[in-house]
Formats: sequence, structure tokens, C-alpha cells
Amino acid sequence: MSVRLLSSDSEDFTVAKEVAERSMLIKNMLEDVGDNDNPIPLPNVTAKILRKVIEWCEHHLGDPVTNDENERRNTEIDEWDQKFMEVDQETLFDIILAANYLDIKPLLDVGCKTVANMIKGKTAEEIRKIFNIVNDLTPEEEAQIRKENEWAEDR
Amino acid sequence: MNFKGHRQYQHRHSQYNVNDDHRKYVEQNLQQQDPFNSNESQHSSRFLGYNVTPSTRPLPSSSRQRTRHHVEKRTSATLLTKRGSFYLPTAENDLISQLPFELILQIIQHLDLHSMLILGLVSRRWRSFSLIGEEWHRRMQQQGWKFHLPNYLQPYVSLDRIDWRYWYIQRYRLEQRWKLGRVNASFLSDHKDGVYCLQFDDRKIISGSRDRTIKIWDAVSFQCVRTLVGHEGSVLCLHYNQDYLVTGSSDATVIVWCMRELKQLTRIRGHTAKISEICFNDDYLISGSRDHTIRITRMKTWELVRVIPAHDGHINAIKLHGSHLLSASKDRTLRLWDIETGQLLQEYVGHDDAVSCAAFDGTTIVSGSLDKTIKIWNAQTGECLRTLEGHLGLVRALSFSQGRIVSAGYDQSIRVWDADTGECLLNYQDGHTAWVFDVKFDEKRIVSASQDRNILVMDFANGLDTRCIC
Repeated sequence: MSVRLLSSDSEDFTVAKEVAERSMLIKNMLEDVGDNDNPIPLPNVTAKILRKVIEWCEHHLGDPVTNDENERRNTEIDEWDQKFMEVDQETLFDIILAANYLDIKPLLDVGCKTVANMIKGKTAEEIRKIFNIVNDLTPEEEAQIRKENEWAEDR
Repeated sequence: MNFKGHRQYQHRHSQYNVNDDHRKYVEQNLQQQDPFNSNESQHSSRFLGYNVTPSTRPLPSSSRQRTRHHVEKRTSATLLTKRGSFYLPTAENDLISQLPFELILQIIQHLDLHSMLILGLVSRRWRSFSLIGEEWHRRMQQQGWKFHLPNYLQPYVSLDRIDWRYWYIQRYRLEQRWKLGRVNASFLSDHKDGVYCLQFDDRKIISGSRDRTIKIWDAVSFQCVRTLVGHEGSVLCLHYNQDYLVTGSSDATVIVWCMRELKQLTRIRGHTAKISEICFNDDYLISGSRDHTIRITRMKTWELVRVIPAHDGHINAIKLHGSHLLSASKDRTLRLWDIETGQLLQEYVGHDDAVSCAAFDGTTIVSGSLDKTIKIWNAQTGECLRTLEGHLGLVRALSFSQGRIVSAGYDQSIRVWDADTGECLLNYQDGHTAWVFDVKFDEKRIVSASQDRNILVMDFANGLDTRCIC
């Protein structure tokens, strides 16, 4: 059984039904409309990103579905996913949005954890560099926040 | 540890007076500054997607267009960087922060406290992420940290405007101090002889002494406010609730005091030796004695219900939980009784010497002994789960709550243990200068009583705002 998906830039993808159903959005749609040959339009996902998402779904096809909040909060990312997420920030951004739109929770988790890991253990200046952030805090504000932070950690 | 005299406390605000300063303070700290309702967010198109949309639905069309707009601009800027020309980052390049609110929430939930605080220094927009109250509230719940708005604050605070970050940090710091053992110590010295027993709450501390008196102390000013006289011997044990104070003595009697007027209601006789511990609930008052028996008396009528010849030796401690009563004895055993029937339910055998103290939460029993160890037992099966070693002498008193054990004994030390791992977390050696007879604790303080005539209050929460978190 296969399913046709249509990206926002009109590229037609044919994937196995089990792969497509990793997306709860598509799964629900298929349940609603039943079997037919029309491609499912995904107006929020470009072909480039859809290709990545399909690659991820194929690799994780056999994964058990976990509803365990603690496991989902665990920031460890397995090696394959780490490699998979070695992309520029624009792609990372689009994968996260696509995972959210397509409702693929485990992929969304991997995306969010990847961003979190980019932030963890860094200084403010390093974070600004990584994400191209302009510091619009005044030196006075910064001094104030630094003081608050010192107090909060109290090591 | 950081010992300071108790004098500094005398000028401290009483937390029960709501004066003007206090109100201002409350307003400043309790009302959340909602980063997403500030003026900035209202006029700025950069706060894209912050009308929260459920994750299964596509973004509203207006924000979708905006996303596309950003993508175009961004591509050209990225090219610029790649060419390595002069490149000044603009807000549009700060891509990740353009994610919808619910996704930002999912990212920051993976950050540790330190990273959350650092976010506050990155930029105004990222600072707003580090202030999201919802996330701090979630973190409090995840830690199992309770939040309780006391009655006296309710007129000033609406529950939907709580600054969760503020309270999270207060609670976090309190936890940090328990980890590091950082306390402010105060000594209460007014007893003329060794202090055998105590109980405390946020307002008061009540202690019993070899000087035959019972003293009631203000828990904020640490002043002795009342001294009760009645026993003809040392006051060895006491227990109170809001209605009654019950004291047991080496004169073999129990006195029941009315808590409101602090007058004697009745005196219960019957034991033939020292009373080592008493407990009561709404129905029964129970006393354990060196005469080897437990006597169960009906509350209010004070008539004897039952005598249990519980052990073949002195009874050193008893603890009540529901209808189950635990007794610890010089005969090296602990026993669990049904107080309604007087039936023996379980026995705990394993200590190599007299059992001197015990704590019981319904499922787990913790006991201390002359064999210098503390043992943790499964109450139902009678199995000894763990033996904690470290004390250099008799373990005279212990308390147990929420996975934490605090013990004290004749080696003068006060120790904090992790009940789950058995690890000794803290060991205070220089608090008392003689045997420690009793120790109690709550989330904020450890209070101990010693033969050196002092009551020691070790305060972990000094300078922290614990009004809503303990």
C-alpha cells in the first residue's frame, strides 16, 4: 500500500503507507477520506524538506511509540538522528515547522532537542553567534540581569 | 557551617504582619510581567505565531505569509555570510526565535536552569523566552515542588498572575542549600537543664526539659514566650496539635494541656515507669513506657481502653499512623500493632542492640539504635531494606519525610541521609556540645534539642521567600 504526497512546490512523492502514517496529520486524513489515488497536498512543506522528513520516517519506521513524558524529555539524541540533524539552521527551522505541521512528535522532539543542545553550556555571546542574534539589551539591563542570575544560582 | 547568633533575627519582619512595605514587595514579586503582553509584542510583527495554534493545525494564513516573507529575506542574508563579506546580523536572521510559541516552549523545556538564565542575557526577545511563566510552573510541578498561596496573601494576588520564575528560583535555592548544607544557626537557651524533646511549626517551638518545664518559643523571634510547670520529673516527650499539648515525664504521668489557654486539662496515671513517647489522634492517646507496656486512652473522656504488654524491655519510642502503631524497644526489636484490636501485625528484627528511636510513614519504617546504625524497613513485609552506618554512638532521634532522613545522637552530630540511596548527605558536627536528644525537620529547618541545654535551629531558608512554597 502506498500513498502519494504533494509538496508545496508541486513535487509528487510516493511513499509506503506505514511511512506516511508516522505523520498523525496524514494518518487522520487517510482515515477520513479512505483509499484513493489523489495525492495529499501538503501546502506547508517544500520538496526539499519533505524529502528529509520521509528519510527520517523511513529510518524510524519500526520505532515503538512512546508516550512517556520523561523519555521524551531526555535530551539524548541517538547517533543517526544527530547526523540527520547536521543541517543549516534554515533547514533545521523548516524541519521543526514541518514536523509540527505534519504532527510527527518524535521528529519534533529531535528537532527541539537539537536546538536546545545548541544553547546548552554556551555563553550569551556564543548563543548570539550561533543564531545570528543582535544584542539589543542596554549595558545597564545586562548588568541587572547578570546580578539577578548570580543570585539565582547561589553556588 | 555559617553560625550566627540569634540576635539578627530580632529585627526581622514578622511574616504575619502585612504592612505597606510588605504589600509593595508582594506586588512586585508576585505579579508576573508577561513578556507576551508587553507593548513591544503588540506592535512588532516579529512576534509571529504567538497566538497559540494547536500543533496539528497549519498556522493561520497571515503568519504563513509572514514566514515565507522571512524565508526570502533570510536566504539572501545567508548568502552574504557565506561569501564572508561584512555581515551585520539583523533580527530577521534570528530564525529560531521566529518559531511559534508552542515550539519555543518545547525547546526551552530541555534547558537546564543555567542555560535558561543565560538566555536572559542574549537579547530582549530571547529574554522573553527565559521569562515564560508556563515553563517555570511546569518545572515546579516536575520537581514535585508544591505551591500554596496562604490566606493572608490572597487579597493581593490573583492566581493567574503568579510569577512562577520567581517562586521556582526561591525553591531551587532552598534545595541548593540543602545540597550544600548552608544554614543559619540560632541557639535558644533558656532551659536550666538538658532539653529532651521538641516539636515545631512556622509560629512556635515547644520543648521539654530535664528542668521539669515545658517552654513555648516564638519561632520567628526565638524568644521564650511561656513556661509551663506541672511535672515532678523530667519532661521526656511531647506532642501537640492545634487543640492539645500532651507531655510525658519521668514522673510516670502524662499531662494533657489545652493548647489555647495552656492550662492542664487532665493528668493520666497508670504507667509504673518513665514515659518515653506519646502520640495521639482524634480518638486515642497512646503512651509507651519503660514499664514495657503501651497504654491506649480514649481522647476527651480519658478512660483507659487497652494496655498492650508490647515488649520484653523498655519501650523507647512509639509512632502512630492511622490505626497502626509502631513500637521500638530495648529488646532490639520493633513491632507494629493494630490499636483497634491490640493485635501484633509485624515484627522487625535485625538491630544488634536496643532500638532507641523510630519514624513511620505508613509504608516505610526508619529506626535508630544503640548499635550506631539506622535501618530502613518495609513496614508490610518486615524486611530490612537498608542499613545506614556513620554515627559514632547511640542514634537517639530521627525524623523521616519525603525521602529525607535527619538523625542525631550521642556522637553530638546531626546527619541528613537520602532514604532512597542510603547516602549520608550532610553531617553537622559542631552544632551541639553534648548528647543530642531530639531532632525534627521540615522543608526549611532542622531543629534539635540537646543535653547542652540548647535548642539549635538550623535555617536553610534564611533570606529566601518561602511564603508560598513551604
